[in-house]
Amino acid sequence: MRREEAAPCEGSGSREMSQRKRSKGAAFSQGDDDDDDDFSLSQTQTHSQVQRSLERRSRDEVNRKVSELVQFLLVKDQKKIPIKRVDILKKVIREYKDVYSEIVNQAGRILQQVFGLQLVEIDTKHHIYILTSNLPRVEGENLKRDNQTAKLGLLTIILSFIFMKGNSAKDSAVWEFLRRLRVHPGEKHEVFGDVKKLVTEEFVRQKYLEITPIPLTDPPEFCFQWGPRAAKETSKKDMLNFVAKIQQKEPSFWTSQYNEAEANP
Amino acid sequence: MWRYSPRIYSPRLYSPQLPTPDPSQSSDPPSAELRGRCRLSEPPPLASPRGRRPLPGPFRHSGPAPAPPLRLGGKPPPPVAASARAAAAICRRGGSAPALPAAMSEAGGSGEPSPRGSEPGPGRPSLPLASQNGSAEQQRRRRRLSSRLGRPPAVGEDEEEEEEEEEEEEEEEGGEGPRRAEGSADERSRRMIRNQYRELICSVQQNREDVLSSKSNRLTEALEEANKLFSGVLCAREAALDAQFLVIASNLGKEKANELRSEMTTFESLTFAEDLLTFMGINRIEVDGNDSDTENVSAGYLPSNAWHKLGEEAEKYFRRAPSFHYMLGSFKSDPPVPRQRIERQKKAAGGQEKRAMPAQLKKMEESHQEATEKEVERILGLLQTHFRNDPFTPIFFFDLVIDPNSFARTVENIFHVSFIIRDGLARLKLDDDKLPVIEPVKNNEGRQDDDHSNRARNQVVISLSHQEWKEIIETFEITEPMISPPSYSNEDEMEID
Amino acid sequence: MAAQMSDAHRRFLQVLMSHGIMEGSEARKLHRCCCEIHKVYYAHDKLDDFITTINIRLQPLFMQIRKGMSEGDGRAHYALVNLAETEITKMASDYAENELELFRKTMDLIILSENGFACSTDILNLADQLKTKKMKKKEAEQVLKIFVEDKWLSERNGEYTLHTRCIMEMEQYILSIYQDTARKCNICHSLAIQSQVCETCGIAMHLPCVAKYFKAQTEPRCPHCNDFWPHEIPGTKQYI
Repeated sequence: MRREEAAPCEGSGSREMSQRKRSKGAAFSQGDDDDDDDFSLSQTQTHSQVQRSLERRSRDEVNRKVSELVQFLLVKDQKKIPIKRVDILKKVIREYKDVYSEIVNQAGRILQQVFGLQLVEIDTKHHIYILTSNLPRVEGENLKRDNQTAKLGLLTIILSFIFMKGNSAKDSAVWEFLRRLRVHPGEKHEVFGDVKKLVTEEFVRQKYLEITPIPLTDPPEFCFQWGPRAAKETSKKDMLNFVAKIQQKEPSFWTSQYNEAEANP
Repeated sequence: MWRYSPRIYSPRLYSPQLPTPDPSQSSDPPSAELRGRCRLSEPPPLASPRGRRPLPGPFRHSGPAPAPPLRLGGKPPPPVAASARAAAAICRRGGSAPALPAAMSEAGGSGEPSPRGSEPGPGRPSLPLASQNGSAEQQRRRRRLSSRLGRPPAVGEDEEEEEEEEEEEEEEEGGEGPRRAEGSADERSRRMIRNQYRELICSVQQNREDVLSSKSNRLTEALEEANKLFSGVLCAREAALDAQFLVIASNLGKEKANELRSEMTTFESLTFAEDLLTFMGINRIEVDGNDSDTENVSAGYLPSNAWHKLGEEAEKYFRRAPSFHYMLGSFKSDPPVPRQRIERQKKAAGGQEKRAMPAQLKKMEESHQEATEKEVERILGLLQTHFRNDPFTPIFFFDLVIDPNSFARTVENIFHVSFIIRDGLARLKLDDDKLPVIEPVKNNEGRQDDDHSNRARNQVVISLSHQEWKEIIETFEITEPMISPPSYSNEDEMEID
Repeated sequence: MAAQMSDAHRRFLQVLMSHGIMEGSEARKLHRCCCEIHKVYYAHDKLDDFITTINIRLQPLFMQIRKGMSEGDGRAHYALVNLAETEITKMASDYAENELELFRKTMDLIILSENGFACSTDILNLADQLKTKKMKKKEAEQVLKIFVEDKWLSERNGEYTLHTRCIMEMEQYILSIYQDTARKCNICHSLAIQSQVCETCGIAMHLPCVAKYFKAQTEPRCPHCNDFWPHEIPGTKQYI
């Protein structure tokens, strides 16, 4: 931690050092600034407390932290792995913990105003965040078509299959279905490579899928369900619409799924 | 995790009261649709065979009305009724089963459960079918408990207290009559029951798909069989196996319920798969005499952009954030590179135009090119002779190219053979031992590709060190070069190594 | 006057973000498309203003939409680039450490080369000399393929050069790291990787700049030393 700070990015070195000294001075009253390893945030950071801390910090410094956080969130989103608050605190916020909530709020606002992106908390217990887009995709804007696009296609099939099957599906059923689409878990796929790894590791780590073992099954069997990212990036209604488009039917054709999708869109 | 909750263990199952169910397990009501489904498929209540006793603990009080015990269902629907809730309740009970024998031995002889029929006690747990409100349920339990004990329900009464009561009671009961399993005959029948249970469990597990089929009655049959077995159960060890079986059965029931649900709503995954293939632009291959290919995977191949096409469609149903990628700043910048361009000055750039070349050099280059062509043709001739003599045996690649007398010749041979492969006159592949072999290409397959420029261009980089060359010679015991050195080869080209 | 960002700007930025780089004509089409979707004022000649509005907001984040020229065909491109190297930008997860090392070594080869190209054999020979972690030739081939797909390199007949996207983002970096060797085009004054060099005075020119500059001249002469320009003049003829 300290070593990293000893080599700060260009131009901000001296500022950071003096800031550090100042916050150490304040640590007598706060008592937690020095605690580099403990990144736990007190839940009771009230608005007035933050306001008071903000007065202590210069506006530029807070703005710099906000920019850093936006950069950090964009970088961490490259692989679509959800972002933990602990990491945000450790890698970006550091000694600015007292104004954490303000920094996060401002970063969220910039993401929204500049990029049309939204910072979403998908796990309120462990404080895990993802980025989603506020702009619905439209025909003709032509996003880049690469292997990530192809993977999204595979994911969409799995998610819609799970939903149509009653919100959970057994692993064997999913693979059987995928085999019909020329995707075999044991073989290297020309687009997806190791498909098994993609589905059971990558999609799970990205929180698109949740795979849980079915108790007392031998050989072990697993149950596929939607992960929290799936629920934020798409919806039951969207998945039903996808199925309907592929099958060229009205969504209401599948009564129970339709009702469910309408009830919680 | 809950399955291994150490708090729940056996003796209680067979005592009149059960501990307070874990609130996390019991307080969540089943989802609306499950409840609805349960009602739909509620099995007819069946008379309990052979003096089945009322159920203890939470199972007995699971529903607003005396719930029809699922286990006793004699007709197909019951499995459906095994709602997720029920599965959870049972799992919880069953999960503790493995700990049972140990618990029993700890409890010592006095803890042996009482024989069936003599008291309101263990019975077949009926599965809670309808909504179960945790707190109401607890209240009922407390009321019952307190009325038995003759005191008002204490708020915050905890499990430990109840546990004590149970033990007390058990001891009381223990005094009532003879309870121990007696003699070896008993022991033998117990062992038999255990074996039968294990067989039953095994058969259900091994025939999952069959059990799950909507046309099959196997689950019901298995449950009935277990019922029969259970009538002979006296001790906790056998009861634990019964519980284990129930967990499996109820899980299967849950799955069956799910499948039935989707069947009802006519989601046909087979047609979905077919429609997806169509969307992805599959090139179907006509299969003769098989008009109804709904059961089989339809033949055909997907174009290479199939998944990208589907992904592009999928994109519209997502609010996925595009991600930002960059190169600058992803690594620490180097110190400035002082080096000058090595062959910089005055040499042609752009790489396009041919620089004037001394006539002699030009000639040499040409003759070199000619030599290469000649050599390739010579090796091709060699190969063709070999293939003509023995058209079905591929040639081991190393045998062909390795010249055990010269590393340089070996490298040259590989170079020359690569032209033959490139031109589609022979094919390089791995045999069953994953060793490279060369085989002939039939005239009609190899050459016709030349018309299509779309033939995939494959590049392979082979690296061969001097050490590796030696090792190959040793391993494959190559003593003679298959490609003899070309006639113009001079002595000085030979290596002495 | 800084115009407010609208959803049209945000959508434009999102799409450009997904591509990394876009050709001018595609960018213009996208500009129009975004304005129509969000019913925002559109004028076909106002793309650069539209981009300025975005750039003002990107500046504090060390990001920028840049306009640049392809060295191959001289066409305009727009790219979203990163401007700074910080502790955070080093957390990028797109490439492993040894892949980045291979990229830098490839860049060395290209920039130190005569004509702005490095041949695949030379690059693959670097693979087992990497300091961070050695690579097999096969792996290195795969990595090169990914760099081409991601538009950091471009490939032609087994020869690699820097992609326009890479030049647009890394121009200042290259000029400062390779200050002794990197050349600037005598016509447009930006970094020149693929270029023609005067054999007398050593100035360089981009091929499209050469084509433009000598278009009307019957006898091409170096704009700097006025000596005869010895190279083939790319023009209507295909010069790539």
